[in-house]
This record gives sequence, C-alpha cells and structure tokens, in this order.
Amino acid sequence: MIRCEYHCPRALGEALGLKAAVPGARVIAGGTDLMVRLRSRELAPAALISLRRIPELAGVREEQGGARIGAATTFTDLLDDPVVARDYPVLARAAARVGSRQIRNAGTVGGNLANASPCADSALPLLALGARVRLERSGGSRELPLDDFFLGPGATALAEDEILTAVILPPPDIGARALFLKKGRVKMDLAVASVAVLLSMDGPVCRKVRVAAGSVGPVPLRLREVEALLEGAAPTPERTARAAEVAMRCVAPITDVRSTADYRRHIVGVYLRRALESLLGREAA
Amino acid sequence: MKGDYVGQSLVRLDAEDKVCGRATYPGDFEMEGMAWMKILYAGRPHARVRGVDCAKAEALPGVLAVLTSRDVPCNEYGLQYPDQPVLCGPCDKEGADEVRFVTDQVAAVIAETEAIAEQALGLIEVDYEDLPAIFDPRQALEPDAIRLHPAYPGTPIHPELVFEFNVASRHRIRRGDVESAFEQADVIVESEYEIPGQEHAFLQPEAGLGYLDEQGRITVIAAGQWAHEDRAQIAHAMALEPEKVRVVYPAIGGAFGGREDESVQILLALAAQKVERPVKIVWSREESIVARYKRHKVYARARWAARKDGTLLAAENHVVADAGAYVYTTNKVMGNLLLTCNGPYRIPNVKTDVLGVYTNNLPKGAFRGFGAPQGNFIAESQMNKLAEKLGLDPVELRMRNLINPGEPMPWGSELPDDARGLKDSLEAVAERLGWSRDESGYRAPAKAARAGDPPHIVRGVGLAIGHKNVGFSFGYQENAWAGMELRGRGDEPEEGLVFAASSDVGQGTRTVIRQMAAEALGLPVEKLRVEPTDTAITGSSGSCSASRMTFMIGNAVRGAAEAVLARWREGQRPARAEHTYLAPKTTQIDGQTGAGDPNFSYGYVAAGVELELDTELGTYRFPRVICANDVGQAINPRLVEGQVEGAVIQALGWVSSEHFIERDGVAQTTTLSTYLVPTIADIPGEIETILIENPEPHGPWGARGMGEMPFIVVAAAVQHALRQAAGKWVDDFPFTIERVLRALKQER
Ligand SMILES: Cc1cc2nc3c(=O)[nH]c(=O)nc-3n(C[C@H](O)[C@H](O)[C@H](O)COP(=O)(O)OP(=O)(O)OC[C@H]3O[C@@H](n4cnc5c(N)ncnc54)[C@H](O)[C@@H]3O)c2cc1C
Repeated sequence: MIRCEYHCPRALGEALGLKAAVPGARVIAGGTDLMVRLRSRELAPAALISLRRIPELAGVREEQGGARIGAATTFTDLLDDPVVARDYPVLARAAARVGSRQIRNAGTVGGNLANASPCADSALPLLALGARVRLERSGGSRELPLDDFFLGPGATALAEDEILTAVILPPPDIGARALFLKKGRVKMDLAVASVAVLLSMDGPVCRKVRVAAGSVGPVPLRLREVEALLEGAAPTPERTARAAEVAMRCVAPITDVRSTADYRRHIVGVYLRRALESLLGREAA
Repeated sequence: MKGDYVGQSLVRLDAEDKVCGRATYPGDFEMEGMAWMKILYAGRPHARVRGVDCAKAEALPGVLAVLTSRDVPCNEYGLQYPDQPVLCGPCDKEGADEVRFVTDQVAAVIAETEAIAEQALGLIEVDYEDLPAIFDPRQALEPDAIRLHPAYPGTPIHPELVFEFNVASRHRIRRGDVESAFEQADVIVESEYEIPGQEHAFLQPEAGLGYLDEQGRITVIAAGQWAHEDRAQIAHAMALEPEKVRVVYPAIGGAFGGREDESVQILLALAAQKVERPVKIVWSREESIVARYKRHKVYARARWAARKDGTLLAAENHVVADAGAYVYTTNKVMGNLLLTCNGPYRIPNVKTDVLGVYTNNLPKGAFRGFGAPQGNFIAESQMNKLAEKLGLDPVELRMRNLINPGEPMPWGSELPDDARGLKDSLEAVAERLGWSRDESGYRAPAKAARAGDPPHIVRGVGLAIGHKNVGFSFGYQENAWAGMELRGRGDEPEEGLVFAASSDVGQGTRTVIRQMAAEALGLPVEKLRVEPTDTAITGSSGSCSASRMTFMIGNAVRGAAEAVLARWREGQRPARAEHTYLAPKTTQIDGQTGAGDPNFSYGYVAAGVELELDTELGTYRFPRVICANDVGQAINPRLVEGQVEGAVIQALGWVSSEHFIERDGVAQTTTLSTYLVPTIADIPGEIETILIENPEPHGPWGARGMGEMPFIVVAAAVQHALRQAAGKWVDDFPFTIERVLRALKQER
C-alpha cells in the first residue's frame, strides 16, 4: 500500500501554488508511469498533486493557426480529436501505438514527455512536427523547443517549481506528410526502437525533412545530420539508403532486457528507409 | 450424438460473475481474525540447511508464529513421489535439510499483517552450507556428477522412476532393428533440437485461505486441479487422516497444468492448525513465476530413415529433459513424450530413449500437453524435413505412413478403431490451406506472393498433425465420481443437485457437467445446480488435466443419473445416488521395450499455419492458423472453440515471444514485462477451428478429450512455415529475432 499526502486542485493556479509550497511534492497525471515507480518503492514523494481535475490542462485547442495540447490530454482524447486528425495525423498514429486502451485512457501527453523516457512515443512525432513546450510556475511562464526540453533519461528542463502545461504545435506544413514506425517485442510494448519522419517536397527535391528516433539514445533524438543530407536534394533510392546508413551511425543505442544495441540500430536504418520510401509513394511501409 | 443439451453452446455458468467482477477467487476470501503468511525462500540453488534461528523474527511484535522444518510432521510431498521437503531444514526425514533449487522453501511467517510477516522474513537467520550445483541435465548424467537425491527404490506404481544417478525417470521403446534399417535407407534426416520450457502465466497468482471449519476440520480454500489429491498431500505431510482435512475450490484463474502440484495448500493447513486462526496468503506475480515449476526444457537428437517412395523405415530418438530439482509429474510428462515423439506413423524399427534428469533448476512439471508438445515437435519436424528431402508433398508423405485403425503403434497396442480423426483432420487442414489432390497424390498450392506485399515480406505455410492420450493411465486405473440428488414431491423432480469435484479452471467444466446432467436426467437445465467442489461433500473426480475431465465426469454423471432416476421412480424422496466411473483398463509399459497398452483413448489433431515474415527485421506474424480437432462430440461447441483458440495462442507464445530463461538456477524472466505472453494484439488475424466428430465409443455421448490437443501441433507447423519463408530449418525455439535473422543470413 502506498500512503502519502494527496491534493486534487481544480485550477491551474492552485496547482502551481501547491507545487511551490509543498516541498518534495510530485505531480501525477495518468499515473501510468508514476504508479509503477511508487509501487516498486523507487520513489516515495512527500505529496502528490493530481492534474486530472484542472480544466486548463485538458484537451486540444486551435491557437494561432496551430494547436495547443493541454499537458493532461490523454492519448484517447488525442485519438478522438478532429484537429489532430486533420492537421497532425502522425501524432494520432503514434498515440494509437501507446500501450493498451486502458493505458491510453489514463496516460497523458504531458506525462509522456515529463517522464522523459527515450522511448516516449508521443515525443517522436512532436519533435518532427517542431513542437514547443510551455512550462509554468507560480507567477511565471516560459516556452522552449521540445528539442531543448529533454536533458537525459528521466531528466528534463523542468525546474522544481514548474509544471508542464501545454505542448504548442506550429501551423501544419502544407504539403508535408509524416510517418511514425515503432517496433516493440510484442504489440503492446514500449518501443525497442521507433522512428518518426516528416517530409515535404519541392518538385523533385526535399524541401523539409525532420527525423526523430526513439529508444536509441539517452533521450528521444532528432537526427539532424540525416535531415541535412536530404534537404535540398533529390531523394533517390541511393540517397534514402545513404540516409539510413547515416541514421544508424548517428544513434547511440544500448543493450538491455528489451533488445540489443545492434538490433536497435538495425531497426532505425530499416525504418528510416521504409518511412522515406513510403512517404515518397514508392513502397509500402 | 447431439441432444437437447449435448452439442449446444450454452452460456457459461460463471460468465456473468466473471465479467462483472463478482466471481470470488482464492485471494478474495477474508475471515474474522485472519492472519497473513509469507514464505522465506532459500535464494541459493543447492545447500544444506544447518540451522534456522527464528528468535528475532518471533520477537517482532505482530508475529504469531514461524514455521520451520521441525513443524512439519512428515516433511515430504510430491504428486508422483514425495521427494521434496515442505520446508527445508533439519528434521527426522533424511535429505530434508537440503535445498535443491533457489526457491525451495525454508520457513513461513504468520503475522497480524502481510507487512509484518514480510518484515519478519528478514529477521530469520539461516545457517547454510552451500553445495556444488548442476544446471545442465546433460552434465548431470555424467558419471562423476554430484548426486542430487538419495537412491530411492523405483516404486511399484511408477517403475519408470529409477532415481539412478540423477535420472529421475527413464522410458524406452525398442522395436525391430534400427541399425540395419538405416543401412537400407534412401534418405536419412538427422537433427538436434532444443525445445524450451514455458511459464504457465495464468491470470490468478497462487493464493488461499486456511482455517478450521465448524467441525474443527483443517480447511483450505485454494486453486488446484484435483481437490482430493490436495487433501491427500496435506494429510500426508501433517500425518493426519484425510477426513481431518477439507479442500474447497472457488473460482480459479487458469491452471494449464500449473496447479497440478501443491503450492500454498500444505503451508496454509499447517499454519491454520498452528495459530488456530484463519491464515491467508497471496503470492505476487513474481513469486508465481520464480517459485513454481515450468514446462520441461528438452534436448533431443533424432535420426529418421525412409525409402524413396516415402515409406518410413526407422526412427531413433534420444531425449534428455531437464526435470529440475524434484520429480513432480516428470514421469508422466516423459511417458507421453515417449509415445508422441515417433508420431502416429507406421515405423517398423524404432529406438527411443527418454530421460527426465534432476538438476538444481526450477522443477519442471505438468503443462498443457504433458510432454506431447515436445514429442510432437520432434516427430513432425522430422516428417516435414523428410518430405522436403524426398521431394514429396508433406501431406502425401503423412498419408502414406499414417497408422490405420487396428494397426499397432510402436509400443504394440493397436490404434483404436475410431481413429479416423488423424486422416480427417489432416485432410481438412490441407484443403483449407489450398492443397489439391489428383491420381499422383496430394499437392501443395503454388507459392504466390500476395499482391501489395512490399519486397521485404515473404510468406510461408506449414502443417503438422498429432495424437495424444486422454488421461494419465499407464496402468493407473482412471476413475471419476459423481453424485446426484433429485428433490420434489410429485412425479417430476423440481430440482436436481449435481455433485462433482471437478476444478473449473476457466474451461467451463461446471457448465458442461450441468449440460450432461440435464441430458442424462431428461430435465431442463435450469432445474439443475452444480454444487461446489468441496471434499466435504463430494468423492474424487480425479484430476482436471490430461484432457480427461469431460470424458471421465461425463461417464460418471451418466451413471449417477441412471441410478438416481431409478430411485426416483421407486419413490425415494429426495432421491440420491452416486456413481464412480472406471475407464477401460490399461497396462504399464515394459521398461526395456515399451511394450504395453498404456492408454484407453486418444485425441487427434492437425494444424496449418500461415506465416508472414519481415526479412529485414526478422519478425513475423500469423495471418491465419487453422486447427482441426477430432473431439468425438463437442458437448458445448463454443467452449470447445475457446479451448482451441486458447491452445493455439498459448502455443504460438511458446514458439515465438515467450522465452523462459534460467541462469545458474535463477529465473531471469521474472515479470510479465520480461516474460512476454502474446497480447490480444499479437494473436493471429484469424484462427479457424474445424471440429471433427468421430464418436469415441467409450466417451460420454461420443465425446473425447481435447483440451491439450490443439496445443501440441502448433510448434512444428510454425517451424515448417518459417522454413518456407526464411529458407532454413530453425531447430531451436522460441524463434527469436536473433535466430530468424541468423537463418536469413545463412540463406543469403
Ligand atoms: C502497461 C504500460 C504500457 C505502456 N506503454 C507505453 C507505450 O507504448 N508508449 C509510451 O510512450 N509509453 C508507454 N507507457 C508509459 C506511460 O503510459 C506513458 O509514458 C504515459 O504517457 C505517461 O503519462 P501519465 O499521465 O500516466 O504520467 P504519470 O505517470 O502521471 O507521470 C509521469 C511522470 O511525469 C511527471 N508529470 C506528469 N505530468 C506532468 C506535468 N504536466 N508537468 C510536469 N511533470 C509531469 C510525473 O510527476 C511523473 O514523474 C506504458 C506504461 C504502462 C504501465
């Protein structure tokens, strides 16, 4: 049994106040990551602050041509959301691959990012889409690119008194298409490796390419070298194969209970090439 | 024969309760004044316990008692042979002070709360003398290996239990002369197989409640597969008359053979007696995985010979199985492996050796199929390879060699007259997979890539067939008891009670018993109630395993119905009767040649597997699996389909994602996030069940056993499909990504 102080604020201001006032307090959203760590006694916070009853944190809103996703939006909410379906389908595709329905009903985007696991499924499409995150504390707020949010496994740019309140998506890139591919050991599993690719063409050449890879480094990785290799160039089969090779070189996977470093690297290469070929309409992924 | 109730898919009795969360499992019971128990495991694979000091643990406030070896009146237990101490430690039983695997139990704490019990475990001081250990059964066979058990004599009931060196059980078939047959052969296939163990992974971890009932009987509510055997083993360890002990089964969350042997029962009984209060225990998932027996891991060598036209000439199989630290049901598992590893084929020259060998690994025991899955994999892999080497179609090769009803099997007894299911199931599967047939025989469909498949996807199709005995037998007189009571005043009974000690492990046995009782009594099913499985009110219906329960209890129900109806007609009110059904006699098999008549009934099955392989990633899926099963008569077709689908999925898990790993006697896959049971998203796109109904003459309404059969043929069919897709035979499974990629690399 887990015993600790529990707060369930009804407004963001209240939550931010509690976070600043209660030393050692942790926020809890869906609890799908946190409860595992509490049960194994890896963590024993002095207090929990629930984000489930805070209206400002829930749901997706169109904002300045783009979208604002409340940090406590669940994966199920994302999957049901018409703005996401229309403008950011790759995010829905990744949300659909998170755990099981029960996990998607409880797990949130904010929790997924704040937990800062290299395998976080939502992080990869969000990196590819150029998302920013909004961090707030009592009396202040800041925004930074998602790329700068992850500092290491389980480590983020969040300060002790801050809460991640929203993910901000830029207006959708007209003509860009994106794909998310994930390999687990079984279907309902954390990623052994995963790849998200966004591609926008300008005639025969790639205008914009964004590539992110999961479970192959200390944080969800942007593969900028791969992006640079493709942008402004014609994506011939030779070049996409080269891109795959570069991707395999850029990642830094480890061997653990779920897979080996070699195999993870291999998956990144295969998935990157397949994603590109599929986005180019040359091959089914 | 179909009837008003037999052959109808009635909804399961427990369906609503389970769906609504109302069903009570062993861990759900609570009682006034209840205490909690926790178990101390040795944590070393082989050691002598020189002493156990409980003073500090006993002094902890809230601790009621600590049980150790000296608290067990007769410190031994085991279903087939009592070779395991209940609690390891010094006592008057020779060898009981030895720990033989890491989760051998040393002490149990009973306390006011679970947390106190757990805390007290850390205060128990055990003085161990570590001993050298053996983890590979092949090394355990070497002449200078240390011996793990004293030399018990083979017992008259189980002559195969030899306890020579580290051989726990030994089985053989000798027929004809294999050596000269190999000289005449056109084609020989030689292989080495490594067949993995498996964790039962049932939903409900072991749990239970022990207490003294209103009559002062030591009572245990737990989940098992044979209530009266639980009672006998508790009574044996406590040196009590069985009548002083009572065992009750509530809802049970799966078993698959994993509840065949005792888990928490004996300690709960001892604890309740010791503290004279109700005592509860609930194992964690991790305990359920690390502290219990598994399917036997098997190392096999096979060498089979045929003539050009496909006629089988000889089969030589040598099988060594890791039995782990104690015998459990190893002799039964190995016995069935012996009978299935030559397949259902006419082979004039057979030499088979099967050894179950003690090691310091986790014990191995019963698991759906009882050795038949391992045996069948050897036989069917050999057949598929022979077909390829001979350039013959695999269906055709089987048809040419299948034993006909009335012909002898390798151990001499005849294949029963009703064994048409072998051919029927093979034909049905081949047809669904697209096989055709002309004057030259059966022909596989042309291999066609599916339109729209990307270049990295290749497909393969595989098949296998098999048979397995119903029941334990090998000379054991199979029996099952049922009782009935009809109530009412007029001519028509108003209410009927059915008594049976069958264990509803999720297969729906109580539902089926009620259907058969309604059929036999000619009463509407709504008027019948199946009483709980409780040794205080029922006789023994035998074990719910070995695909035997419907067959056995159906016959008992029929006998009881006939008897109770006669009494009712005579005017007895309420009318009561009971009946014990005895299955046809069987014999032990000869220790040197295997000759004998070990079984009274068999089930027949075939499976076809379609596999889709990603050649770049080494991963695969199963778009379609077909399973044809001769069930004699499906008493409840929907439940039978459930058994087929469940068995197919469980077997696919065994060959693909499940990988039970032990290192130096320590389980490495200790959670469900490292031991990967297929999720609902991993199951085949389609599982097609074909029920074949050739009536079994001794079966109730023609039914035969079927719960294990669909499991046994899946592994070889998958290997066959993988061969088609990857271009290599992979002889060790699970077919992990690494193994598949290696095969693909060798091919290119
Ligand atoms: C069975 C199972 C399967 C899973 N499968 C997947 C999968 O396939 N893919 C995947 O990516 N993940 C998976 N997960 C992990 C988990 O579900 C996700 O990471 C989920 O998004 C976490 O969100 P949550 O709301 O439950 O976070 P919580 O557990 O509530 O919180 C996680 C961490 O983030 C902190 N936190 C939460 N919200 C905020 C916030 N707004 N601001 C600051 N800090 C915050 C918490 O303090 C905690 O440290 C799985 C988990 C389980 C148990």
